[in-house]
Amino acid sequence: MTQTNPDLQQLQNSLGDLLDSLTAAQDAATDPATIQAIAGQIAELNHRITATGGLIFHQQTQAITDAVQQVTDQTAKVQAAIAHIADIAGFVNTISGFLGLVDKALAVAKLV
Amino acid sequence: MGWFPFKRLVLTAALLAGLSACATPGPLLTTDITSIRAGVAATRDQARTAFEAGNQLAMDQDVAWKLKQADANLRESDFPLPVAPADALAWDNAFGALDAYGAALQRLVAPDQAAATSDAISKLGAQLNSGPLNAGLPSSVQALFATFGGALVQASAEKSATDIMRRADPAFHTVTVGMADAVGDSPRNRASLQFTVYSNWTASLAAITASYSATAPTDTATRRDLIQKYVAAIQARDAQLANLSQLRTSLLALAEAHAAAARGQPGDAQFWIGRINGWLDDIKQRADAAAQAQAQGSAK
Repeated sequence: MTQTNPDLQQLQNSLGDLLDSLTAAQDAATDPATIQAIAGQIAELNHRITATGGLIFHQQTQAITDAVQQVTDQTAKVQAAIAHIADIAGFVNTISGFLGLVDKALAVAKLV
Repeated sequence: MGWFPFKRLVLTAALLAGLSACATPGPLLTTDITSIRAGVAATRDQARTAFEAGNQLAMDQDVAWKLKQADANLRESDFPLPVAPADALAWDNAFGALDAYGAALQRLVAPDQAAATSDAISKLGAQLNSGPLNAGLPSSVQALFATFGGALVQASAEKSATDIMRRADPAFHTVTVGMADAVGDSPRNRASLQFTVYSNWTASLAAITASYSATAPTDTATRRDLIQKYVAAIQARDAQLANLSQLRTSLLALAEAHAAAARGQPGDAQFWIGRINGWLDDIKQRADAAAQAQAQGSAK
């Protein structure tokens, strides 16, 4: 199963810590210039967090896709079991059909 | 009654009646598998709703970010999304694979498979009686053979289904728990979708705060609008994060439901699926309320 890159996780952790720090700084700021400057920094940071988050999600999705293949393998086994059951009914029907042919043959033999 | 003594026939008939009664464990497994398929469909809807909302929010932030950039170029990488369209499709395909697996199990345990065998045995009995063999099987015994044959097939199908479900359970668990982990249990989990969505809301709130700080204290009308927008954004953020938490819980419930059905505990499976269906309604209501809150905030 594909693993998520630990370096990306580490990077996202660092970006998350920075986001927390900037949010706290904006909460504490009192002058408009600082508040606006921090908002700009948060927007820049968020852009990187979204890009990194998308990459992490992509790797997690690859791992999920690998595991889905194993479920699909089991689906093939279910299909085989269905075919086996259909064979049972088919087998009994074949015997009925065969007996029908035997009956006809015997009927013809009696007439001869 | 040429070839079969009557007493033995009666005893055999009684035995067959008893066996056929205990060969079918009932439609519990069928109900379980139907429920799991319904749970997969509901969770798939939850995921679509959550992904669309998260991506829409991020696209709004991407556009706002791009407008502040000085460079003259446009690149696809300027507009990252928490869930890339290819990954959303991969999730949809994964749910499709889980559903296909459920559909195959449903066909395997469907009563019509056993009924086909019963019909075939009935025809064989009629053939034995009407042909030159003239077996003289009483119609009640023919019916019992047919019922027993069908019951055996049904029992065999249910055993096969349970065996396969037990073998598939680790993979089913890996898929659903892997999905739950990707969504995350809270924004504190930074390798999760919840954190990416939370970050985008943080940027949205920071921008509203910046606008507020740039508004003169005497301009109360604009300040009031910005406050309302800020509060609406908080409500929408909380609703969206709650939806992601619910999606995660649904995925874990799906894993529990499959494991319970594979263990032969049908009551447990239906309990979990019942909860998923309830959560889907909650998520849709919250998503609608959040969208309304956002629209009201944006309109002001």
